[in-house]
Amino acid sequence: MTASDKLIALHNAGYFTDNRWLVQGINMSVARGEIVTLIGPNGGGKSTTVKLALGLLKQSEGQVFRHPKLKIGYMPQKLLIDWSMPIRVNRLMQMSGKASNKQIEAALDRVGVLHLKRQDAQALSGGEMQRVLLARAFLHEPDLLVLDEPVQGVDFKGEILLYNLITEIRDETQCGILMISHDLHVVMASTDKVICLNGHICCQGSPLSLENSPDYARFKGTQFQNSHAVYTHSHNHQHDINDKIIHNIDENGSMKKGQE
Amino acid sequence: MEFLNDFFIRALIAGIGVVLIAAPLGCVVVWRRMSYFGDTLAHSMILGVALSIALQLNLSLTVLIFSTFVAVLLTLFTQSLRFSSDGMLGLLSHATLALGLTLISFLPPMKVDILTLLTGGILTVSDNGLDAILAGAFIIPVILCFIWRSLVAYTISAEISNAEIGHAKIVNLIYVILLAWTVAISIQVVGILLITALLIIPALTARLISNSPEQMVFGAIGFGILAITIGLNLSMQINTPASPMIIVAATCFFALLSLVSFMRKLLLSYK
Repeated sequence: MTASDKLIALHNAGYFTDNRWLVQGINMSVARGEIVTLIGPNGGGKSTTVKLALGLLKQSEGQVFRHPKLKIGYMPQKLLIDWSMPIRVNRLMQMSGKASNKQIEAALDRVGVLHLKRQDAQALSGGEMQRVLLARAFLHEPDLLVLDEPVQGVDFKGEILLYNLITEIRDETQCGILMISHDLHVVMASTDKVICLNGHICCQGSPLSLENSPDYARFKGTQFQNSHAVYTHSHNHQHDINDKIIHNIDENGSMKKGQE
Repeated sequence: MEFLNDFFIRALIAGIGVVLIAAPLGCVVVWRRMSYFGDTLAHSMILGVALSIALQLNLSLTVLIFSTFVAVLLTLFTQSLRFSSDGMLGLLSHATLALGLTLISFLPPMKVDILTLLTGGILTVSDNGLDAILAGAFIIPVILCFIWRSLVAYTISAEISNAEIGHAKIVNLIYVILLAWTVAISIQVVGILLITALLIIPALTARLISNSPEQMVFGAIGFGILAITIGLNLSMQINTPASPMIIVAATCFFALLSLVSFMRKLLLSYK
C-alpha cells in the first residue's frame, strides 16, 4: 500500500476538552477499498475519533491527514429534523447535492425503502431513517464512507441486508469505509481491520470469521454466518473505575490472557 | 415616477419589498428556532438608531453596519460561550434595549419618535428608506440563492454538512449577516417590536400547506404579500395603525389555515 492510497490518516492524534483527554495517541488510517471498524465501550472515544478524522473537531495534538478533494459520505448515528421544516425523503436525499430521480430511486431501492420516497422525513421510524441516511451517504459515490453505528435500531434481518449492502458498495466503488460498531464483539464480516478504543487504542486486528470462532455452534446455520464476524480482543491492560490503566502482567512477567 | 407619490402605493411597494426579503429568511429562522435571535437583533437596533442620531451619521447606513456588527458578535458569543444561547440572547437583547433607551433620553426630545421606532411607519417611508428596501429586495434574495442548498443542509444537520460540504461556518455567517440586513431594512416598515412577527408568521402559515423547504419559502412570500395588502387596506378603512394591522392580518391567515388543516385531519380520521 502506498501513501497515496490512504484516504485519511491520524498520527498520534488526541483531543482534549473540559480538562480531560477524550482520546490520545490515535494512530490509524483508512485506505481506498479498506473497511475499518471502531469498537469500544460507551464514552471510549469512537465518535470523537471519527470527528477528528472528518475534521469536525480540531485535534489538540498530533496530525490528521485527509486526502485532498476527498469526497465524503457521512451517516450520523441519528438525525432529528424539527417539525417546522417540511421535508420529504426525496429532498433529504439531495441535501448535499442534486441527484437525478433515477439515482435517488436506485439508492433507496438498495436499502429497501423505495416506498418511502415521498414520505415526510419526520414520519420515519428509527430503522427507516437509518436506511435513508445510509442511502443518502452513498448516493454520490463518495471516496470515503463514514458510518456511525449504521445498523443501530435495525432488526436482525435488516442488519444482515445492510451489512451485505455495505460490502457490495465497497466492492463496486472501491471506497474506503470507516465504521463505528454498536457491538463490542461482533462486527461486519468484510471488515479488514478492527480497532478497539477506550480513550486510546487498546488493541487492533482482523476479525475472525464465525466458522473459526469458538462460539460457532451458536451461529451455525443462521443467516449471520456470512455477514457477521467476531473480534477477539487481546488487551495487555485493563481500565479501572477511574480510567486508570492497569497492566496485566503476572509474577512471571507474562501476560494473562482472556480478559477484555 | 408619478405613482410613487401616492403614499398608499409607496407603502405597498415598501411592504412587498420587505416581504421578499423577510419571508425566505424567516423560514430559516423558524427551522433553526432563531426567533429570539431575530428579536435580539431588532432590540439592538434601538441602540443603533440612537448612535446614528447622537453622532449625526446617515441613519440607514449606520443601522446596517451596526446590525451586521451585532449579528456577528452574537454568533461568536453563542458559539463560544458556555452559557445557553437563550440566556446569552436574553442578556444582550435587553442590555442593548436599555442602553439604547438611555442614550435616546440624552438626545433632544423631538429627534426620535419612539413609537414609530417600535411599531414602524410604513406609511411614511422616506425616499432613502425605499431605496434601501428595493436594493435589499434585489441583493439579498440573489445571495440567498447562491448559498441556499448549503444553508438548508446546515439547517438539517450541521455535522453532515460540515463533513460533506465543508464551508458550513461561512454559509452560516453569511446567513446571519443577511438576517441582520433584513432586520435593519425592515424596522422602518414594521418597527422593532414587530419585525420578528413579519419574519416568522408568514413562514409558519406556509408550513401548514407545504411539502418541501422551497415550497415553504414561496408560500411565506405569498402569505406575506397578502398580509401586507389586506393589512394596509384595513388600516385605511378602519383607521388603525398600519404595521400592527399587517401582523394582525398575517396572524388571521395562520389561525384560519390552522383551523382548516385541523378540520381536514379530523375528517380524514373519521373516514
